[in-house]
Amino acid sequence: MFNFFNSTCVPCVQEHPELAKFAAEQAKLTDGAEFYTVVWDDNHGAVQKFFADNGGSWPILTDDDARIEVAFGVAKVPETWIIDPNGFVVSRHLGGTTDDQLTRLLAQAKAGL
Amino acid sequence: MSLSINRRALNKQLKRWPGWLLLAVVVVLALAIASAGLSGPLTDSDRIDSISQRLACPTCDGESVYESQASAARGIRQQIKRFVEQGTPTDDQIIQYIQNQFGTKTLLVPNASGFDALVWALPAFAFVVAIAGLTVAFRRWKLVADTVPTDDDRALVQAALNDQEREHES
Repeated sequence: MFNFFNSTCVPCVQEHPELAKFAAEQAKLTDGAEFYTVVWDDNHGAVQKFFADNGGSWPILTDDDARIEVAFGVAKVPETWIIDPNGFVVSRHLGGTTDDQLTRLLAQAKAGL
Repeated sequence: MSLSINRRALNKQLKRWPGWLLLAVVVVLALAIASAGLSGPLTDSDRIDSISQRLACPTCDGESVYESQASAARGIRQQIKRFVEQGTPTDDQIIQYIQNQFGTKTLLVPNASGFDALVWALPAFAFVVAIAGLTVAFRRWKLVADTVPTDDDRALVQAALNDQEREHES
């Protein structure tokens, strides 16, 4: 799963505790989803500090040249994408999300596989 | 006599046509040469600017990717730069890619094909219809103005004048 994030974006900050909860639950599962944060147009230090202060130990991808952002067509953050093991996009959620919503979207995606 | 005058007027009109045709050809040629000369930016930087001016910033109101400082617009400019440096053959291919990723709302200038082409075709069609209408109207007015009085007309006028004179005398 990819979550497009910026530390100066209010909805991103608001949804972060929910993402942390979801990622922690997935980490406990044997077939849990891999979670990644994608950051574009942000200060690296600010992002590191945000994660240190607010939790979240999943990988952070720094999209320095906006390659990922444009390839995914992400105009505004936050956005969360679910991609299946074969690389197909199965879900795209625009705006802030919750642990429950992500769990439901993931279950639907797995059911459709 | 009136027939010969009408014919002369018609001939005069017809003689004017080649001049107008020549003028139209010159104008069309000049426009074609000017537009060909304006297309095709000289440098990579010019090409990036030209493409980004044709795209709308996806997160702004009425700003192009070229002028916007929003994250999304800057990201798109970087992608355009990459495409241009990689030698992507046409601007339209780059615009099509951005449009595929961000949606049709990123298109600042409508397409020249499909339904969008009506945006370009309708004003041109309306212009041609208007010119044709004006030409027909002017020709009608001219034909009316060229009408020469017949002998009967002259006789009528003369009779009216005679009546007037008689009234004055009496």
